[in-house]
Amino acid sequence: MLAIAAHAAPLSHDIAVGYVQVADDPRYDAREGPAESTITPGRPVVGAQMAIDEVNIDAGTSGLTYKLIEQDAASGDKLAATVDAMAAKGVHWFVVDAPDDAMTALAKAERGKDVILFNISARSDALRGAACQPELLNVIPSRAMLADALAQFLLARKWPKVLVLRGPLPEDKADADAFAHAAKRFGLSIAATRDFIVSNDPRHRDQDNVALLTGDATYDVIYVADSDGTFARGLPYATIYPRPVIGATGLVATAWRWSWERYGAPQVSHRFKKRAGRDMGAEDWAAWLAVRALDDAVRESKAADSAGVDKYLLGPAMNIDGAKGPPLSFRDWDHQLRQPILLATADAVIADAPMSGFLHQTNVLDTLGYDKPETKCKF
Amino acid sequence: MLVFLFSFPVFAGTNHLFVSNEKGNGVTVLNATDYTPVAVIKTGARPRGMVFSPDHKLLYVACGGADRIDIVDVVSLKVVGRIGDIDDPETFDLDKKGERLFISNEDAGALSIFDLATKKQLKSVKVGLEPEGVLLNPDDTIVYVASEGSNLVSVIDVASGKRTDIGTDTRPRRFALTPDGKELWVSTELAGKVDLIDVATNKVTGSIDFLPPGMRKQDVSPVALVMDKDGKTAFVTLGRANHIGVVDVKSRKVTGYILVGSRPWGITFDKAQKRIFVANGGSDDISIIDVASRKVLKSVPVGHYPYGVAIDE
Repeated sequence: MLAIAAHAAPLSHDIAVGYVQVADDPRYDAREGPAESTITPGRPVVGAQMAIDEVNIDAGTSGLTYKLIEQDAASGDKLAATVDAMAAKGVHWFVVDAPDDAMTALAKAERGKDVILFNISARSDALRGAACQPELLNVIPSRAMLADALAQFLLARKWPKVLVLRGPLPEDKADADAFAHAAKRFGLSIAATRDFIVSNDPRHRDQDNVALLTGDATYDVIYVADSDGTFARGLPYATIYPRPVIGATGLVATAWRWSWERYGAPQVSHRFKKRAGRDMGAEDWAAWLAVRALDDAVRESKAADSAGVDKYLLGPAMNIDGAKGPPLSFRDWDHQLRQPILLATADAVIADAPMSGFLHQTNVLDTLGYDKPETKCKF
Repeated sequence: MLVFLFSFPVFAGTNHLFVSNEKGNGVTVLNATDYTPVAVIKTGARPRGMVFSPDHKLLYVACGGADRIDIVDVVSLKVVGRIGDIDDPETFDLDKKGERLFISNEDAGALSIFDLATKKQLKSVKVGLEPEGVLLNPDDTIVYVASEGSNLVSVIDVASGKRTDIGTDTRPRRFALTPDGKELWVSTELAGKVDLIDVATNKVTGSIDFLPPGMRKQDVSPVALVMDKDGKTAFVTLGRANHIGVVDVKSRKVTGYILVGSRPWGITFDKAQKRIFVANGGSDDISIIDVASRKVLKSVPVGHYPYGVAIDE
């Protein structure tokens, strides 16, 4: 069922983990800081470095040691060459931090090769759908999972009518599309979808004036898709009706937040903050989790070669401790990590999805994102 | 005369039930017969683990949010002392003479040994990530520490500080030792199991799986456990599964499940081992279970996020 090429490199006691990122990734250079929902405010490699130190603590019981080999690709289109050069030197597992397009191209280029790529920052639903690849393991939640978490929350709160405000960037359209899909899936009603621009031009006031954008419709809540964040930041309390804002600001769906305080999360966040000098964000957590998941698979599979480890990693016996509550594992139909999604305001986690009452025939975590019968992924 | 004695039980202790409330920043005290509230003792932030002094005159309470251990007088119900500068203490054990505290420091990834007379740290031993459960063996020569973030049980020689590690299932939490001292049980929260360790060889020899009827494996998160004095039956709190698992120790078989409140964590017997008290962190109450019938006798509200229960009789 798992169409990973069964290469069988014997497992060394010193396991090299590749960490590949795009140099000068524009997602990280917004000076004002991007929207709360967009990306962590620093490169997530620190998360992987922290996990390497952690998995080396128990070297005494397994006899294994890990090292992280970090390499920047000059640009997104150089990622595959970077990975190939490292793979030629014996690296099999790669943690990859790259935007949607670059990750998609990389995964396509690596198809059938003797590698495993942990995607820690690309949220594209296509990477879990039509563009999925067997070698690509998606640790970061997809847009669909984040949108489904918000939709479940709105339904649980009985706020079913939503006004959607959508920014001009392709990411904004992708976020709004994912939300529309979630709304349909869970039975929310979208009162209107309106495109905004950031401008003071009175000729565009229907698109840049918050009062006009939020008036003349009946709704419970505003969903804003704004990966740049400039518009969203000024939206709460500026709306014409007193309505909460979710999406890019207000209540944000995310894989991780410093204010999450259950299931051992504060310890993970403290360790990260000590090391990085900043709070742990979703991509930091994903980088950390990728290395921890690999170590779990190595130790628990007791496999003699990388193929055995990979089989275990993607198998049903996996129960990764992500400090989010339930044990985590990868979905066999699209290689997405099943996980709870946190719904957070600026200073607290308000809820964690799946919300109680959203049921599933095998695992409630699979109420978030594309489920097996819906997937467009064909390995 | 005998009849008189039986109808009016004489308590050697105060007959108080103590419940630490992790987010209530205090310890709720109840009458252990009728469960009426007696007092709320204000402690440092995030009170969790509790241990009595050997003479039961003092109750030590780990206050992780305040980096200290508060010392409660069991009779006056006042905080009469504190041991400060302990990094995020959660659970701990006390040696049989009541002289040294063995404390897991969750954030620092260490076990520290404190001298109670001088209130000074004697020793600190690095363990795995997020150490949680701490248990001394019967003669206080070995201390076991479960590191939940590293899936390790560390076996530490108290005299030398020398450490040996045992790999366990995912997220090891708390311990129980069989009364013969031969087998160490450790709950593994994310694996939904209890791992069994042979103390002589320091090897995991087996594990017990829990699955209350109608629940899914991923909802079962075992945390605390107690075993009766004759080593026949163990009771394990199953966290998110809202049940207690009952285990026949000899056959290692689960013989039943008891439905309690939400997210049961701390668990303790009364002295006669007729009742079990369980702290339900998610429903802010405790469940009192009749051991013989395995039925919940009563649920009693306590403070916010109850974590542990201790009884003085």
